[in-house]
Parts: sequence; structure tokens; C-alpha cells
Amino acid sequence: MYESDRSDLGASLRRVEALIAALDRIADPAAREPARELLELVLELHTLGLARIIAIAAAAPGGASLLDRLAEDPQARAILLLHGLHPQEAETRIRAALDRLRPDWALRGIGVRLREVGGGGARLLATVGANGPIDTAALRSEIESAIVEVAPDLDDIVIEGLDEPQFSALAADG
Amino acid sequence: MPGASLSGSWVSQLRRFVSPPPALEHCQFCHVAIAAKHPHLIEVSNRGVVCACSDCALAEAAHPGSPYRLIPQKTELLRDFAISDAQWGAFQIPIDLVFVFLDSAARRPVALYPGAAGAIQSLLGLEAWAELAASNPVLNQLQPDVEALLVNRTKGTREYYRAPIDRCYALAGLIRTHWRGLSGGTAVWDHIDAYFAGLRDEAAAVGRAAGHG
Repeated sequence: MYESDRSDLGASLRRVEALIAALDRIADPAAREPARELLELVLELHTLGLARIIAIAAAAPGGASLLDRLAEDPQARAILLLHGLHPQEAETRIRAALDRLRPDWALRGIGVRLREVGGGGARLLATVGANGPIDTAALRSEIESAIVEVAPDLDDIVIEGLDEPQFSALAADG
Repeated sequence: MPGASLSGSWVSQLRRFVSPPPALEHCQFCHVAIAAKHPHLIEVSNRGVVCACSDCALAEAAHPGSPYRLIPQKTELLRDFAISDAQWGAFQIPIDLVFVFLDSAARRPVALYPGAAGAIQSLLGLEAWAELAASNPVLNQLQPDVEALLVNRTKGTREYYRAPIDRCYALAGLIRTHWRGLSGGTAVWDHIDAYFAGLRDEAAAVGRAAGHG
């Protein structure tokens, strides 16, 4: 629906990741600290303000459905997730994403189950039927992308059942 | 993150950067948790750097038989340091980064130059060192084991610092960690440049406090 907004958002978020990695590579704390503190302060200001906005909206007539709509909007959802203000827990979001993707995956001979969410990560079990895809690396990356899109606040997405279990390439690698 | 088509765990990455997990450093002596900035001591026999709380650091420093020496935290840029290319050449140091300290056990100056495999030791010619110290008396003030002459002659730079030994080892660690291939790669040079930018700031702060600049 808002395809162009979505791709701009994706580009921005990838840029966020690249910039954070660049800042993280600065070994000298004196050079890194002002950037870190600035980011911390700006995020904090936004978190406090957004929390008030949401509290006020939720208390208004029709507030609950308003919040649901906000949580559905890609741009608004990203900001809610960033500030820990998304109305749904990571587990709920992942289960909803799996429910949405299950019919399509089933047609392709793929089954994905959520094993657990906790400790800042999620473990999933993938099963591939006889008529399923052969390229497990591509499948792993497809599942990871689907999960991390709804749960960018998790560190580790571990997909088991595809070859031997291994940590996601999206996990902190430095 | 190889070839990510979608944004990854950007929220957790941002959060981790903004609030890094608290450093779980403890005093090596009394095991109390200590702040990120804390005193370091060196164990003279094995040149190991250990972390300490202020109380234990002072206690060890005051204890005459202690196997540890307190490392000072002051860095000084030696603007008037004088060394000719011939004097430098006499040290026969294969790269343009080196630190030299007085080893109290060996009773002589020891040069360490950082590289891919860590810091490589080379014994300095006593005559060459004595000659250098004659024209740069600051070298006679270096506290044995804990202070070093840090030389940066990379890429045309000619900088000489009186630096704490733990900062010198930090540089060696940085280079060991980030060295790639034969020439080191570009990343290691970014780290070296950032390291010296930080060191210059520290030295400038000391210079201002001492009224030199």
C-alpha cells in the first residue's frame, strides 16, 4: 500500500545499522562518547514524549483501535518498536507473522514453528518437506528476514532444522 | 552482516550502542566492581596489566615489596623531542611505531613494536639510547616499567609521547586485533589514526593543565 514509504524506511534502517557499526568501530571512547550520549538523549526525549502521546490517545474514545492502527503502520510501528512502546510483545508479533506466512510456506513445503522467545532472542524450528526448497541458505535468510522485520528488537534469531543449528548472520558479529 | 536485503535487528543494535552493557570489571585485589575508568598496575615480572580500585592501587603503590607498579595516567606530547634520522636508524626498528621503556629487571631500555602477532621485543643499543637521552633529558625521567617513549613516525608523522605503558599496550592490542594481510589493511590504519587522535587530546589536556599551551 505504501510501498515507496516502506522502501525508504528500509533504506533508512539499513543506514542506521551501518552508521552504528561505524561508530562502534571507533576505538577511542572520547571520540565515540558524544555521539552515543547525543543519541541516548534524543531517544530518551522521544520515548518520554511518545509515551505521553500514546497514553493520551489510549485514554480517548476509540483509543484502543487507534493504537492498533498505529501498530500496523510500517513507519509508526518502527518507531514504537524502537522506543519499546509497541503494544505487542515480540512473541505475539512473531506468532502473528508466522500465522500470516504459514499458508504460503505450506504450499512450498516449508513448516516453521516458534520454539521460544527469551533472553533477547528467538529460536525457531524449520522443517522442509520432500517437495520443499533445496537452497537452505536462502530459506534460512528468508525466515530470518520475516522474523527480524517484526522483531528488530531481538538480538539473535536462531533457525534450527536447516542443516546443523547455527547463529543468524544478523546476530551481533562484532 | 553479509548482503542483507532487509534491515536487520536495527532496534537492538541501536539500543546496544546507546547503552552498552555495563563493563564487568573488578579490582584484581579485592574484587570489588570498578568503574570503566580505573587505575592500572603492571606486574613487573610478566608485564601483565591488572585493573584495580583506587584503594588497592594506592596500597600496592605504597607497599615497597609489591610485585606491582602503579601506572601513571598522564600522557605528554614531547614537542621539543630531538632525534635525527641517523639516530632513529641506529635503533634498527623495522616499523615506524615503537614504544621504549626502561625494564627494571633487565636494567636496560626495551623497545616493543606492535605488529600482526602482537608486540615484538627488541633490545636497544645502550649507547644509542644514552646518546638520545643526552639530547632529550625527559628520557631520564621515565618511570621504569610504567612509562614509555611512544614514537609515531608513520606516514610522515614525527610525534613523540611520554605515555603510560598500558596505553602503549592498548595500541599493540589494537593493531594485533585489526591487522589484515601483509600491509595491515585500511581498517587498522583507521584505528591507529583514531588512537593517536585520542592520545593527542589527552596530551593537550595535560599541556593545558600544566600551563604549556
